[in-house]
Amino acid sequence: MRVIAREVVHVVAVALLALLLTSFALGTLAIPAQEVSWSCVPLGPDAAQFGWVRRTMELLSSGVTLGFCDSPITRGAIIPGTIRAAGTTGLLVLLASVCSTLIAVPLGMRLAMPGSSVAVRITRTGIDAISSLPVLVWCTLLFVVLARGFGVIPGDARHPYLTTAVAVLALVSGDRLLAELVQRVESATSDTLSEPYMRTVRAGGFGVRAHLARSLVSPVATAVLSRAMFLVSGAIIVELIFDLPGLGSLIRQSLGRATPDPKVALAATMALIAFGTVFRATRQSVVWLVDRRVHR
Amino acid sequence: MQTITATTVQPAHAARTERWWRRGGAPLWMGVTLLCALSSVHLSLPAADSSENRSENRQDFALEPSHSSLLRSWLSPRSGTDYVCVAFVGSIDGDCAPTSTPRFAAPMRPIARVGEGYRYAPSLTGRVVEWRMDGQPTTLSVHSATGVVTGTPTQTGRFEITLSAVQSPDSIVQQRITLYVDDRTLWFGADRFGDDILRNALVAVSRALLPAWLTVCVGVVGGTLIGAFAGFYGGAARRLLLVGVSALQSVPGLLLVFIAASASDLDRWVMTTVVGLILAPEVALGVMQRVESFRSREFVDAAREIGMPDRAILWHEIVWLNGRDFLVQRVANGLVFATIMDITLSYVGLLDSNTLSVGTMLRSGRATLVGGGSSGEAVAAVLGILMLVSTFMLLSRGVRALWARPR
Amino acid sequence: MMPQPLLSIAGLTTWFESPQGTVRAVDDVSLTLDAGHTLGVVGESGSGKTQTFFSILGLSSGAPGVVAGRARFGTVDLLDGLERFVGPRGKDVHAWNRVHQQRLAPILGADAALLFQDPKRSLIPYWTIGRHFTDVLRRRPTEQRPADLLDSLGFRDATRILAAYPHQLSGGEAQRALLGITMAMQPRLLIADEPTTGLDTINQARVLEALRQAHDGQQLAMVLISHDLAVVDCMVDDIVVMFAGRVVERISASQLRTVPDSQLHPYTRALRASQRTRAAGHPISTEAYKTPLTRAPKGCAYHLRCALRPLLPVSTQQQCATEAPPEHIASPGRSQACWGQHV
Repeated sequence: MRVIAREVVHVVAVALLALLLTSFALGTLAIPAQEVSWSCVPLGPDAAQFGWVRRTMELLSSGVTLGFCDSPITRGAIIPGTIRAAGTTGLLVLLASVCSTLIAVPLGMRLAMPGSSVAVRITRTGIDAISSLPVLVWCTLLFVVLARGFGVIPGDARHPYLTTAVAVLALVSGDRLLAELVQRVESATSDTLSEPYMRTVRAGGFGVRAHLARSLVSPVATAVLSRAMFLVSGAIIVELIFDLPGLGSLIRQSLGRATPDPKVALAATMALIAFGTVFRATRQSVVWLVDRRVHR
Repeated sequence: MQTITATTVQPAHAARTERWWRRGGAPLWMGVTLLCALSSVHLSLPAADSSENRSENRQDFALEPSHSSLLRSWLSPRSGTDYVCVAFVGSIDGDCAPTSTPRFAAPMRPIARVGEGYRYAPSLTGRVVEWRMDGQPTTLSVHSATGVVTGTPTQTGRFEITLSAVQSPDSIVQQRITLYVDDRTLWFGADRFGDDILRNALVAVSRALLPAWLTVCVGVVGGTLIGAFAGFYGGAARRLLLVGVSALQSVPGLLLVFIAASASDLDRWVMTTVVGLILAPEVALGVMQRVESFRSREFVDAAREIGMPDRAILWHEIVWLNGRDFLVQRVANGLVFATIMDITLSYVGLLDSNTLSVGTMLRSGRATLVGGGSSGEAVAAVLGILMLVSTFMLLSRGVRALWARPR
Repeated sequence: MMPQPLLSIAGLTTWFESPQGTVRAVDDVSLTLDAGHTLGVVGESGSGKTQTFFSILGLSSGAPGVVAGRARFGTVDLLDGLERFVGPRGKDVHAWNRVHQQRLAPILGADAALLFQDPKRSLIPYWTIGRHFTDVLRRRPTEQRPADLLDSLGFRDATRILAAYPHQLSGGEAQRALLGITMAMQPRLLIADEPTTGLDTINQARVLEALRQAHDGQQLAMVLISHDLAVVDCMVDDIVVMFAGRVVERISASQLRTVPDSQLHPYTRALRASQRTRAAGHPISTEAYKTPLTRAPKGCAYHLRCALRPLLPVSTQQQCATEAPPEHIASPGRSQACWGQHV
């Protein structure tokens, strides 16, 4: 019970702090206040005349009600628009995590087994090398390959699935998650194999694979979920380059010079905070559920 | 006996060099060489014609509307009835002139190569009586009736060309460009300004070095100070640090940088500092954990017993001797992080979008690709990033290998 | 015709590669065990007593190191044909493991079962004891209920034990619970690897008593691996003494009690002496020299520590240092490998 209470307090504190930071930053926005669409803010269109302190306070105090305003960026009400965008980003992150896990788990397990072949070790080195290049680079490279090699411009509405697939590929290659997962799975597997109980499992014919898989749930979930916020950052970059609709384009438009709108930026920040909260809560629950030894 | 012979035959310094080389000298040497090469590019190239060319008569292809007023005043007619439209690219045609004024549909290409044919077919609204051209290389000529410019330049140089379309005796529309003719081999081709892409990439990459180092100075030095104190003395500093770190981790750094970019009116150095501040908590957390784990070791008690002051124990024994490996790794990661942030920001257009940088190269490379052009610029930018990242990694690997205790 | 032994090992040689060099963990070891018999294997840490059995049953951590030898369990040849995976380019460990595991699959957890030291960590930490039983009984159905089995092993509160996780048990309880789970497999062979190490004396006695009951009740063959001669002495029919990966003496338990010191292998003699010294409360003389297993054995592995060698003629002393002693029959049912006794 105390654990849950502590988690809740933590989440609330962090969310408030992040909200304060964002409101402050948005309130002091250097874009001339006249150019920002302040309609729907409780202060009304006159908001442009007030100083940044007052604007910050307004943004902070009406963080939720602002969501019911309309904005040209979200083409309608802000909250549903932001949720849609967050869904797209979330899907990208989910696909990338699943792909990374599916690649890393068998590879890491194979590496931990005695006598892993040269090909397997080369694959690991390759993954390390691939992951040392950032998402931005992979996006550009894939863009070049698609545009020059196949004459397809990613983000083109005619190839929605192709664009998503390439976006996931860029995210998987560019994020450190894959390399980190391989490393974690490898060390967790060899740790588990050297645990005394695994000898019992083998000697008793209890089925090594099931026990090995179970021992990997916790490290894999921890690795994926603690890396997830970086994946979200990566997804934002991917969305910007491939022109995918999502939080990335929302943030760019709401902060850009063309249609600055702090309300949408605030909504996008809240969506990101929600991501962070969900990831943290999932991570804690998985660890709590899987690892009974934690609360011995 | 054999080993004695071996050591006497081999001079001591040769053995030492070999050991140094084997223990990590190779990556360090490569990293330092790359770094020196990039720094020398930074020191030698910016004064060259490349940037001058860029600022003189070019504008970026995707200016935001808020800048258009500036552009409009800059593009306003300069004298009498002459309407001067300077070479531009992209979607701002509408700002060039009132719609009733005759204008060129596309500007002349400002770059020509020795031995390669040059052709420009102007298209202008309204009837043209006669076409004239001044200041061109001798081998270029204009067809007085059609206005088509043709020829093959034979010598390198810079030519101020004025292409005039006489529509009536009192109405002459002019296009002025600076034409660069050169004979260098361009491995990655030329960009839309006619600049050598490879050279641009080198300049852009070398320009990314200084901001990255500044970021790391702020992030790593600040983070180490905070982390070391929080770890060694604990208490409120430690609790504050933990909450700060989780707050920062629950919002992607990218968003904070975006917001800071908007709030600081795109000031590069403010941005660099903000990226450093985002880096700091993570470094602080790492340093804190190390300091905490070392604080309770026996050697700290022993050092206290022999009268060593806390300050010396913390900074020399713990942070320097036991934490430097970690710090070097953080510095390398921080450099990569700062570079990528810098590139992303200028790519998105939130950071000085009109000067040459890896981000703007990526952006214009992407635009070229979308327009069906060559991939040279995008590939060069990617290679530039690769070079930066590997320089940082090699440096960190080499330094850490040299510091590693021999087994 | 002689009945076929349950387990026979011939010329088993297990080497491991380590950064320090090749470790000769087991060096040309042969032994047999008939159904229903008990065998004690004694030696200090690193003498290869555990590795002998672990390597043939695929339980060695890291790469399997068996390079030569034969091992039969009942009618199954465990190592036959595996040498084809050892080629000039090294060993195809993966293929080796796969084939070996295939052969072991019907044996492990069924006909052969093992009992390890450190029982609390040898039980699956996220399973209750009852869950262990369920899994075993699913594969080997039996009339006997887990609670009865635990009762027969001396537990008074079988229900609590069945519902408990390993970390909730004491060391002795865990070892007896593990024994219960092992017995539920109804094996023909039980290999107990130092089952009493780390337990207090009362629990040691309980575990040994349970082992004896299990042996008597189910007529199973048992290998008891221990570094303690006293533990083995009271439990088994025959004893094998190992040192530095080699068998130095084979002797029946009854003979060990009667044969005078002078006729024993010097190492067995040292083991017995230390046991007596401890019983008498005298300080045990420490032997500073530990035979490094990575060095190629030249001569008798024990010769540097041997108390007998200085008393031997100079020529024999040289032989000790240069030539490995072969095993010879010292008396009916007793053999040893020592130049000093090889008269």
